[in-house]
Amino acid sequence: MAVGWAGKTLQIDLSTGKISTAPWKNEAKMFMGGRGGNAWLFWKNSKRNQDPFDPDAPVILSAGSLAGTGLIGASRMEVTVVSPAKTESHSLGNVGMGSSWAPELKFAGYDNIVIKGKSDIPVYVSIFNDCVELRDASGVWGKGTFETQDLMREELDDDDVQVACIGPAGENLAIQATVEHGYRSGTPVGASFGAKNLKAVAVRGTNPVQVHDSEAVLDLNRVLVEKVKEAKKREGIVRDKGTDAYLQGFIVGDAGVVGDYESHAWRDRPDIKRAYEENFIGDNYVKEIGCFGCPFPCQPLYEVEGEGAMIWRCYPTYWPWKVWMTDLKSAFLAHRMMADLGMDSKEIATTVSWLMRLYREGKVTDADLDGVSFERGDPKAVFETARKVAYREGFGKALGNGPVSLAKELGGDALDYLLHNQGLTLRTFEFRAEPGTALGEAISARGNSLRATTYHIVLWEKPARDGYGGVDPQEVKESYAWSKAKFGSKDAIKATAYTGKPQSLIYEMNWAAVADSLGYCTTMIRPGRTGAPGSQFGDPSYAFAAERVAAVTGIPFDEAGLYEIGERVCGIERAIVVRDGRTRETDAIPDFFFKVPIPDGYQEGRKLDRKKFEKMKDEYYQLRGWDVATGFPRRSTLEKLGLTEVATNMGKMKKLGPEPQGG
Amino acid sequence: MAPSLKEVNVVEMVLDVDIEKCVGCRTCEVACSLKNTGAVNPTRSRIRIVRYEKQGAFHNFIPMVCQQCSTPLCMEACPVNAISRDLETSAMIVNADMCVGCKVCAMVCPIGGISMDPVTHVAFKCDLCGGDPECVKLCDSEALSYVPKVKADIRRKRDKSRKLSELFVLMESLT
Repeated sequence: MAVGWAGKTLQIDLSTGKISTAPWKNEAKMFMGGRGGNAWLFWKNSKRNQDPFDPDAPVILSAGSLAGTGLIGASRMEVTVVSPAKTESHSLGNVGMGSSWAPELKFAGYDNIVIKGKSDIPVYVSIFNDCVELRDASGVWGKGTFETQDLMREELDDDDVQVACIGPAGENLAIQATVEHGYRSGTPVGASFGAKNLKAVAVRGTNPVQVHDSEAVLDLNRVLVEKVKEAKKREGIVRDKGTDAYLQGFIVGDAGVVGDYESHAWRDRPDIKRAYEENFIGDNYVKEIGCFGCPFPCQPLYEVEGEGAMIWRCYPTYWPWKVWMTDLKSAFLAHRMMADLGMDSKEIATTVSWLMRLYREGKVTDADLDGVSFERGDPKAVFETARKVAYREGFGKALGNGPVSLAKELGGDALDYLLHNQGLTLRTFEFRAEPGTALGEAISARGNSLRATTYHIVLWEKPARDGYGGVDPQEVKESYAWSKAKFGSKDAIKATAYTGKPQSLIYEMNWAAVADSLGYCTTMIRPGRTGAPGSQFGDPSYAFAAERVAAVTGIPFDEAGLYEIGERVCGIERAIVVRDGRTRETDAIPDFFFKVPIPDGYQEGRKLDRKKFEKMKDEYYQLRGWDVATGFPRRSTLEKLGLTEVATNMGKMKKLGPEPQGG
Repeated sequence: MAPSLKEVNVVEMVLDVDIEKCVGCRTCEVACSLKNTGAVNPTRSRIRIVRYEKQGAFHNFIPMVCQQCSTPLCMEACPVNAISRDLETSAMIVNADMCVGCKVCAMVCPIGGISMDPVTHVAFKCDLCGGDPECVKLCDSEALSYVPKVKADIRRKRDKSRKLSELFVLMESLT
């Protein structure tokens, strides 16, 4: 028997209180775990066009299949729900998180959890190995996520319990609500907990996670630590002062968005750099914190004296520019407040940037927004919006149902100004300068797909010393050679090009799906920013991943075998969103990005070309084996991925594309 | 009678713990349990990261592992003489065949460095992997290091004096 997995799915029905387990074995080899396993369980447990707040709608939590197996970088969990945040389409929404919950679930003896039903009273799930119980959460209902975690550890009398919980935002069914545990990337899923009267899932386990070859696992880790040490020395990377690319990224990036896609010109403003590096980092940086089993910590902890501390990194740090804020201390405190309320700071900030644009152009006034001023850069706008959404007061009543709801209520041009994809606001990426990223956003199953739209297909021709996204000339040359060999054209990885993008995007999306299914941190599993020799670990292949899966499971996976799993995960996710209404027409991003050119900065004047964009879509569908006219998968495509049962059901729903003529 | 430290004819190495450098990742627990039990199992790791956390306020981590005391209370307290010092590594070693699991060693250890194995039900503790500790190899933040005892001492002094030295530079710049 293959090892590495716990081999069990935990099933909980909150309506009846019934708790049971099912084997996680055959599906494990097809979908691994994490995001892929969740997609399969979602397909099995959800209904077509299910309401996100239907008591029967599943909430699925899981550990990536390599989480808890001791491999450095494999620690991620995944939560999948009928997305409340994708208000215009619902269907699948998911989020990945690091830290320690996923390994703990494996120590407790489970790979994943399917929660259905709705409890009469607030409850939380407590898991201690075989002892799984629903406990009264009345005492913590209404409390912030910080206090909730502390109180649960206290109540369960165990400081090592790992808690994933919601705050007031989730309880009050705000679609911006999150499940809080560790650093996360993805769509908000917290309202799905709230709708079930589910406050948290608290996990503790004391069992071993078996691996096929423990010496091989240790050796892979040893070699990696040595390699990283060498790379740090070679490149002079100091990773312990909070000044790495993860934090300062988008102020220096060519495509960093300021406001509601209103400017890019912050790149060269020394006051911005100073605000970040000297003032904020200098005054507030405490230290780095690592996820379970990863000795390369990348989660900087900041503290504002007298207010509190919080990890703030990477994706969730890219938003202050969107609301024109240079006062990073206030931005940090807003982020911390939102984490405590259990809500997505980026989703809120992007909404605020939209309101600021409306306000500036006189489309709305203080009176429309409960007297709150939405002057650019005013921290109060963020604090007030967050609070009102979490507690569903004033304009937060409508906004908690999604920005589209508020836009409709505000009337006038508000809806035309709102840049969204299926109801989720569009966040950081400058699609006008990155056609491949635009294609990824339009097509990805969940929307807001950071993990599917970076790295390999976004190469900027600028030196590394110029900051985020910069690559040295030698690496540029090598990257292009790699791209030509891999995708048939050098443009496939060039940020601003259209040619070859469907190929590189599929490659990228499939591997992101593999990483998310293994529970692997994308920073660790990717062969480097551009995939070129000389990048992160000096290896442009994903052999890194394959040899790790083999060492842990004993199944001789190679790169091609893993890639097929990625293709399968993207295939089942496509089937799910098509089942729920996705078509070629709705694989789209707003007209804005085709009409309004970038106003300033290094990429000034760029906008998307409709014809070229649609041509990329054609090519993408063809490469995937989906129907070009509808975007529906074909029966043969699903069957080739081993998804025969899915194909049959999709056929019954008339959601399959026609087979090509003569094929 | 066990020989005293003076009679051990090797450079005395120590597993040095610098709590300020610990990032709380528990890779040491992974390394230890994989090496010693063949599976990932923090419960059976000889080193544990004790976390002091208050969400939104502080996150502190303290690696707890046997320090191979110069006056090993565990050995002196053991009623069946199951604990002895390894002459090559200076590590205190539990003879699992002799141990009866009475837990007296755990009671007297001042730092929680020795515990009961939940599977074998006898005492278990860090044996320095026979002089090649696995946890140290994977601790990239260098909270754990395996160094000659004398070097560990001066290194700690150097670390702690760094702030004073900065003050010294500052004072000079002011005069």
